Amino acid sequence: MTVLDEHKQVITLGSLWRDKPAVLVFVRHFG
Amino acid sequence: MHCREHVVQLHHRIEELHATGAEIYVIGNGSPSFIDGFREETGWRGPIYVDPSLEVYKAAGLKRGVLKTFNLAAGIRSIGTLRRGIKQGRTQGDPWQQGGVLVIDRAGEIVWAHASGGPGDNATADQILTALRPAA
Repeated sequence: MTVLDEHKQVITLGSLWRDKPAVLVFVRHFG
Repeated sequence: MHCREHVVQLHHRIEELHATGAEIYVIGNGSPSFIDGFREETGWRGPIYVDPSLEVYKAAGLKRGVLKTFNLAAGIRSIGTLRRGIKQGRTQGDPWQQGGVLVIDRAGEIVWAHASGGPGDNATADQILTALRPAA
């Protein structure tokens, strides 16, 4: 499972909490 | 507007949140091209990613639907947000998708979750801090 950064680079979701706890804040939209 | 307000509120508490040892990631559902504008509007300096396919939103168990977006409770919360001077911008992403927060420990376990029931139903920084203390 992946997400994209502002440069359209693919980030593996699991990498986000590999080194430290992660808080994922899902926003409804960017408006 | 609720999304921006939520991120601004967390931005104001970012030092406390980072002091737990955690990183905070904002994830939206629009295009990567929306990220820079959202960063400018909120002042958020941390990582922001997007999930245009909504695959991660679905896996996280977050809600989606017209009735989740337009309901009485959401309307009342919107009045409060407008009174605080935050106006609705142009929607960039899926307008029916709701947000939420997951706190995940280093083992990949979800230790706390909040699935928003509608606009303005956001997890507070205090709730997230309480969830983070055992995870750190």
